Amino acid sequence: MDYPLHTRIRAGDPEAFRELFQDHARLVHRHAVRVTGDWAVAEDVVSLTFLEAWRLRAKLRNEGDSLRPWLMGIAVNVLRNTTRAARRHQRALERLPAKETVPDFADELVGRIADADQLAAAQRALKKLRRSEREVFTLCVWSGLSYAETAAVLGVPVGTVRSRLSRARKQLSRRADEELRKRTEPLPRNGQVQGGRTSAARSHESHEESSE
Amino acid sequence: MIRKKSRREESLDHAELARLLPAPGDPQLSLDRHLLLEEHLMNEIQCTAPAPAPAASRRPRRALLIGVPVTAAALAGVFAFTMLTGSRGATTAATPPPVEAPVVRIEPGSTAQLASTVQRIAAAALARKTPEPGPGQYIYIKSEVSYLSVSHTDTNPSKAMVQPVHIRESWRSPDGRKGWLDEPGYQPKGGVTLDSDVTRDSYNETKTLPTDPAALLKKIYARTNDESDRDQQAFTAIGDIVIEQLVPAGTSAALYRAAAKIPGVVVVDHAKDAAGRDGIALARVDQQSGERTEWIFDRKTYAYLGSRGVQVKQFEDIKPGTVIQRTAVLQRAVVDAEKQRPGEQGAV
Repeated sequence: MDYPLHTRIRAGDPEAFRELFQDHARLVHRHAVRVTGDWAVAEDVVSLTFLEAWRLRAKLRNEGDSLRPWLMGIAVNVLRNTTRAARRHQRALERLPAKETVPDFADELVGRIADADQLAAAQRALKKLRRSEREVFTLCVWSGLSYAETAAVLGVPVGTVRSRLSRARKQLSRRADEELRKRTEPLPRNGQVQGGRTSAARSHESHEESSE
Repeated sequence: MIRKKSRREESLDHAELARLLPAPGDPQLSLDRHLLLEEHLMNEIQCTAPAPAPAASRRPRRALLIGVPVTAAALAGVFAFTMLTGSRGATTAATPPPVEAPVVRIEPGSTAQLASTVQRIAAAALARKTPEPGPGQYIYIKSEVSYLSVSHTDTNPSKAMVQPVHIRESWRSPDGRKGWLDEPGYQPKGGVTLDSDVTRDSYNETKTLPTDPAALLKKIYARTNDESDRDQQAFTAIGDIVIEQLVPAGTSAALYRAAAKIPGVVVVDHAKDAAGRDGIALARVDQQSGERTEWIFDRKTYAYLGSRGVQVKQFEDIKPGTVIQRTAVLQRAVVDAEKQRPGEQGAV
């Protein structure tokens, strides 16, 4: 029998989660890299998002055809508190294959280093926003979600998405002007090191997971 | 109502906003990492998957099988992490390694004895006294099962590998909303919740099904769609209800009678369930996958024993005669609480 994907996800059909992963892992990953500025943490966020989706599958409702807002909502929660999510799925994370030190393709490595500088600059600017504005900004502007989708992700009215974006715009324009004025100073060098696995998301403490 | 802002206007806004921050680059998840993370997710959730009624997982497993050689090749050299699965131990009991699927001689199916066999099965079902679960009580089913192994990292992807036969215990509330599944080695230690808001095939809903076979069959066909063979879908739908459930006597008899009316359903004289018990089976070949699903009944009492899935036509690397899944119901009972076993305090 062929059930709709929503139903199969709620019923815990593993293959439905494979489909979900294949359709959305890239989106979640790109979003996470941009928000965290860290490739290693972003991979953990991808895994944690889908593990959380698995854990929370029974709560999926039949609203809308797209699973994107539901999944991105989970990703946003993981990004808000990666440590807590990592603690909940500590054992699963331990089984995550270690990151290879040498990427397959030299091109990719070069691309990453170039990206790293861009990312770091975007990061610094992003950090000046409030979290609520930052979330709306990254979802709408960077990950290309519609206002309606972003509203669904964050569980706020569409009007709130608009007003947060417009606050973000004001903030950023003001900062951009300030930046322009002090452009004479060189940017501080940011020590983003690629390839090294950050353990930020991993909790090595041995306490038991707190159930909610 | 607020007028909806068009996507085009939105994207204009976005472009303007995007210029306010340095470009965030275009980070891409590389293909090999994508495959690894996907594999990791599948390994993790398969340890905790509810492994729903066999039929519900049949189609997906088939799809998975097709994917095996490709993914296994793509992942050559990164086996190390799956070796760790389970051995870290604290949340999941160690998963025993899969074993080669048994291969049996394919017993021919025939419609010659169909009417009389179903008559006996239905009569036996009607005569059997089934306990009636009340609100707050749970239906307990203990079985032995072996399903096709879902690991992508079996050392020999050309062999069909199955889980060794193992114990599976389920508790379901009559309304289907609460439940628990314990399947050591295949579920987290202590079991996993079956709580769900999908109540179809629950005891209560099954009880409302018509007991007239023709009317029942009509209802079953109404659940099918035109994406695949409707007759097979109907057979599978009945299997979903019968295989791991407690079914009221009247409904149970009607379900078997209805199944016998589905084109392609045959009697197979000899079939062994997961507990090794030999019986007579009602069966149907899924022409798409070449798998014959057999519901096995005791040869003397005509009580339902278990089920078996036999590959009758070559499919990918699976040889005809390969037994790709087996179940055996060992005990059905009504108990007073989730995780309570019959005979323990308070059990019926």
